Amino acid sequence: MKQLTFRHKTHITLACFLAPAVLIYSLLFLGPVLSSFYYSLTNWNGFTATMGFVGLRNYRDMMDDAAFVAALKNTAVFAVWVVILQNALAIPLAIALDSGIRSKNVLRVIFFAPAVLSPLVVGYTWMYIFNPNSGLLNTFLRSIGLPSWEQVWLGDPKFAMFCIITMVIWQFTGYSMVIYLANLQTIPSELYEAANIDGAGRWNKFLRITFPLLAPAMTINILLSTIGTLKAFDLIYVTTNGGPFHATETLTVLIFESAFKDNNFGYGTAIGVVMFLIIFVVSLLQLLVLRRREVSS
Amino acid sequence: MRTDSAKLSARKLSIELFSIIAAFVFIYPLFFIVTMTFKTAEEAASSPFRLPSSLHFGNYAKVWEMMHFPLVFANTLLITAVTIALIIVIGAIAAYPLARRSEKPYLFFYLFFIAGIMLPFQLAMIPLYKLVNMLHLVNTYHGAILIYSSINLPFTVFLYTGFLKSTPKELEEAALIDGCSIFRAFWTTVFPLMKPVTATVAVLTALSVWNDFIVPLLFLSEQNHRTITIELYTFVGEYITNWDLLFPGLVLSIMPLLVFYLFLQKFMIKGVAAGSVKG
Amino acid sequence: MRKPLLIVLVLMLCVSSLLSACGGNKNNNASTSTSASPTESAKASEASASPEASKPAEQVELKVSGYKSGAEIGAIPELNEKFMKENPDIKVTYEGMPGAQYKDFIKTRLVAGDASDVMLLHPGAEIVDYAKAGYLMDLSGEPWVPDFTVSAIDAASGDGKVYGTPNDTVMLGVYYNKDIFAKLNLKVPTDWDQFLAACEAIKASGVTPIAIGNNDGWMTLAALFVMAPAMIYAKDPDFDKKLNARETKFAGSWDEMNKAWFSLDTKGYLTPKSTGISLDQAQTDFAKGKAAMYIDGTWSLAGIKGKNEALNLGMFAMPSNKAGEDVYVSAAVGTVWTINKSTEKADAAKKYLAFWAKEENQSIWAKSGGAFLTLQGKKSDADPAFEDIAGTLATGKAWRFLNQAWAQDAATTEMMKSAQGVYLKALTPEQMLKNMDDAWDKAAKLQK
Repeated sequence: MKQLTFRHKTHITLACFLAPAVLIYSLLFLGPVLSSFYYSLTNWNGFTATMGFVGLRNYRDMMDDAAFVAALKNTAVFAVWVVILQNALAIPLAIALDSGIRSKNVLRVIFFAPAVLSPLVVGYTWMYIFNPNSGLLNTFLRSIGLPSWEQVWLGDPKFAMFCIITMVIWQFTGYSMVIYLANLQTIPSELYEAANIDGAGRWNKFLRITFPLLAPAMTINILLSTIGTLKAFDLIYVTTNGGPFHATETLTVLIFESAFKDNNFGYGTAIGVVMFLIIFVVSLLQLLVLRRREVSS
Repeated sequence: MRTDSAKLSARKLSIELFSIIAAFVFIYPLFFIVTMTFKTAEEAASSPFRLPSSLHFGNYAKVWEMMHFPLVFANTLLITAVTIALIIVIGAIAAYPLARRSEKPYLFFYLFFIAGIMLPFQLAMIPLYKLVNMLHLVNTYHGAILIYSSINLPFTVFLYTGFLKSTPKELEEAALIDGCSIFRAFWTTVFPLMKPVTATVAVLTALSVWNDFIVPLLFLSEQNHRTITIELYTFVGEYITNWDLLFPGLVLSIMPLLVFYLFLQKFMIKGVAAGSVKG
Repeated sequence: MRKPLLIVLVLMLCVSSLLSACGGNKNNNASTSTSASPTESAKASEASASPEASKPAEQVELKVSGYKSGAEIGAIPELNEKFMKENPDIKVTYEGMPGAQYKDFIKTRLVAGDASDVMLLHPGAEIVDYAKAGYLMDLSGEPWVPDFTVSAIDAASGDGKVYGTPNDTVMLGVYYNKDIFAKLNLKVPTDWDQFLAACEAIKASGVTPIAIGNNDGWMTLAALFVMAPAMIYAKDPDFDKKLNARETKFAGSWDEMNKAWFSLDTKGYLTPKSTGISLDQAQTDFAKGKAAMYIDGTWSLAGIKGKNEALNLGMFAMPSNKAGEDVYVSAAVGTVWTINKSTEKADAAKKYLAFWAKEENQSIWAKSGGAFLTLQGKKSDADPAFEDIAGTLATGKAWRFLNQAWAQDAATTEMMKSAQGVYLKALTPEQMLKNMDDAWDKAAKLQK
C-alpha cells in the first residue's frame, strides 16, 4: 500500500518536471507546425481569407512534380556527401591532434572556429573564394599553372552543389573533430599497448581499436550532420538561391519557394510534411543501426 | 633505440606540420573576410586578396552608428542569455523523467520532443505569428525568448536525456533513501553531474539564437527591439547591397561570439564534446 | 574555468529558487514555473502600451513599413521628419527591410491582421492580389488622384479602384561608358542592328560589351525586361491580359525576343561564365571600364558612381526594335503607399499619403532615389546621366516591367532559373519558354 502511493506520487512529481518544457514547446512550436499541416490539405495561396479543402491532392501532385523529385535527389546528394566527407576528414584530424603534438590546443581552437559563424557570413565569404574571375580559388589554380582546372564553381550546375558541400564541411569539420577528439581520449591506452605486443601495425590498430571505439562519437556526428544538412536553408539561399538552373534546389528551398514566392502555401506545406517524414525515418534508422554498432563493439 | 625515437619525433613533426597547414587553410577564409573590411571600397573591388594598404576604420565607425550597435548588441545579448538560462532549467528537469523512466508515456514524450528536431521552422511561421500576436507578445523580449526556447528545446531535451541515461542512478537513489524529495535529489546530485551537457546546450543555443534571422524579422521588427542580424539587413536593399558596409557589419556581428569563444574556448569545446560523448 | 562555474552557479540559484517555491506542495511546480512568463508578459505589454495612453490623447502613432532600406531608403527618414513637423499630433515609425524579406514579413502580418497602418507595395499584381483579398483601403476618392498621370494611377489600381500613391517612375535601361563609346566612334544605338554593330565594335576593341551577373536572379530578369517593351508590348498591349487568361503562352510569343537576347551570349557580347558572377561584380566591371555596358535600373546610378566617381556614363533605352520602329523604354512605378483596410488610424494614414502626394515631397523622394516624377505635367530634375533615356520616356513610348501584371509569380521564379539554364547551354531558349508556361500552369492548378 505504502509502495503504491509512493509510485503514484512519483508520477505526479515527474509530470511536474516535464510540464514547463511540454507547455512551451507544444504551444509555441509543435502546435503551430502541426496546425500548418492542415494547410497541406488545402489550396491556400498564403494570404486570402478563404481556402478550399482539396484532400490529398497536393500529395498526389507532388509525385508527378519533376521539381520535387529533383529537389529530393539534390537533398540526398547534399546530405550523403556532407556526412561522408565531414567524418572522413574529422577522424584523421582528431587522430593527428591526439598524437601528442605540441600545437594541439591552438589548432583545436582554429579548427572549431568556423562553427561559430552564421550561414550569412560563411556564404558571403565563400562567394568571394568561388568567384570565377577574381576569386581566390581560380587565382590560385592559375598561379600554380593549372588554368585548365579553373571552373565557374557556384555558377556551374556540375559544381555548385559541391561548392555548398565544401562550405558546410569547412564550417563543421572542426565541430565533428572536437567530438571525436573527446572520444579518443576515452580509449584506454592499454588496448594499444596490448596490440603493440601482438606486433600490430598502425593501420591495423586503427581498424581494430580506434575505429570501432569511436562509434559513440560517430553516432552523434552522423546524426547531427544529417539533420543539419536536411534542414539547411540560409546558406543555400544566400549563395545560389537554388540555382544555377535548379542545381542546388533542396527540399527546404522548394518549400520556401512554393509557399512564399509562388503563392502555393498549401503545396509548400505538403512538401514540408513529406520532408519531416523523411528526416524522421532516416534519423530513426541511423540511430538504430549506429547504436547497435556501439553496443556490439 | 636512438634512431627509433628520432624516427618517432620526425613523424610527430610531420604530423604537426601537416596539421598546421590544414589549420592555415581553415582559418584563411576568416582572415580574408576580416582584412577585407579594412579596405576602402575601391581597394576591395580592385584587389580583394591583397592585404589592405592601410587600416581603414571608417567603415566600422559608419556601420557602428547605422546599426545602432550598442542597442542591438544589448538586445541580442539579453535575448540569448535569458534563453540559455531558461532552456537549461526547463530542459534539464524535463529530461530527468524521460531518462529515468521506461514506461510508455515517458517514451511517448521523448519521441514528442525528438520530432521537433526534425521539423522545419518555416512551416510554423504563419500560425505562430497569429498566435504570438494574439498573446500580445510581438515586439517583446520575452516573446522572442519563449519562441527561441521552444525551437531549441527538442535538441536540448535530446542531449540531456542521452547524457542522463549514461549516468548511474545510485547517487540519487542514495539521496532518496536519505529522505530527500525527488526534486532535491535531482537538484543536488544529478544536475551538477550534467555540467558538461549544460555547457553544450549553452553553446548550441547561443549559436542558434545569436545567428538567427527569421524570428527577429517577424517578431522583433520594431526599432528598439531589433537584434544584430536584422540590422545587418540595413545594408541590403531590394536591388542594391552595400558590400563595403555589409562586410564590416558581418564582422561586427560575429565578433562578440568570436571573442566569447576565444575566452571560453576550453570550456566550450569541452562542453560540446562532453555533451555528445559520455566520457 | 572560474567564469563558467559562476554561470553554472547562477543557473543553480535559478533552479533552487524554482524548487523552493514548490517545496511544500510539489504539484504546484508546473503551474508556478510556466505561469511566471505570461504574467511577466502581461505586465510588459501594459508597460509598452502605457506611454501611448499617458501622453496627450491626440498623439497618434502611425506605423509605416516598406521595402526600402539600406542604400535605397533615400529620403524616407527625411520626409517622415518633415511630416511630423507639419503634423505634430502624429508620430510616424518606419520599419524598413530588404525586398525579399519584406514580402514574407508583410504577408505574415496581413494574414495575422497585424499589418502596419501604411504599407509600401509594388504596383501591379501585388496590389491587385492584396486588394482582392480585402487588405487594402479604396482611395479612389482622395483629392490627390487627379494630380498623377493616368498611367501612374493605373499602376496603383486594381479593378478600377485606386489603392495608393504612385510615388515615382523608375526605368530599366542600358548604362553605357561614354568614353569607350566616344573612343570607338559609337553613337547611342536606336535599333537592334545598330546595337549589335556597337557590341561587335566594342568586342573587337578587347572590351566586354555588356557586363551581366547571372548568379543574381534579378540580372537574368532585367535583360528580358528591357527587351520586352518594343518586341512584345508595342505590338500587343493586351499581351498580359491574354496571358492571364491563358489565351496566349510564352511559347509561341516570346521566341523571337528570347532568341535575340540569347544570341548576344553566343556571340560573346556578355560577361563570360555569367552564372558564376554576382550583380556586384558585374557592376564593378562596368564601373572600372572592363565592360562598356550594363543593364539595370535607374536606382543603380549611385552604386556605380560609388565604385568609380570619375566614370563618364549615360543610359539609353534598349533598342530591341527593328530599324524604322520606335524605341520603347521599360519604365514602372517603383513604390506605392497603400493603407491597411483595417487600420484604426485611417485619418492619419490618409494625411500621410496626401503629404507624399505633394509636388515638393515627390520631388525630394524622386531625387533621392534617382527616379522620375509621376505627377501630371511636371518635369523631373534628374541626373544628367539619364538625359538619353529621359528623352525616350518623354515620348510616352514606355511599358511597365513585364511581370507586374502577371497572375502567377511562379513564372517569374522559373524565368530566372531557366534563363540560367540557357546561359549554361543546358536549355534552349524555346525550352525555357515551355518551362515558364509549365510553372505557370502548375501554380494555377494548385490554387484551384
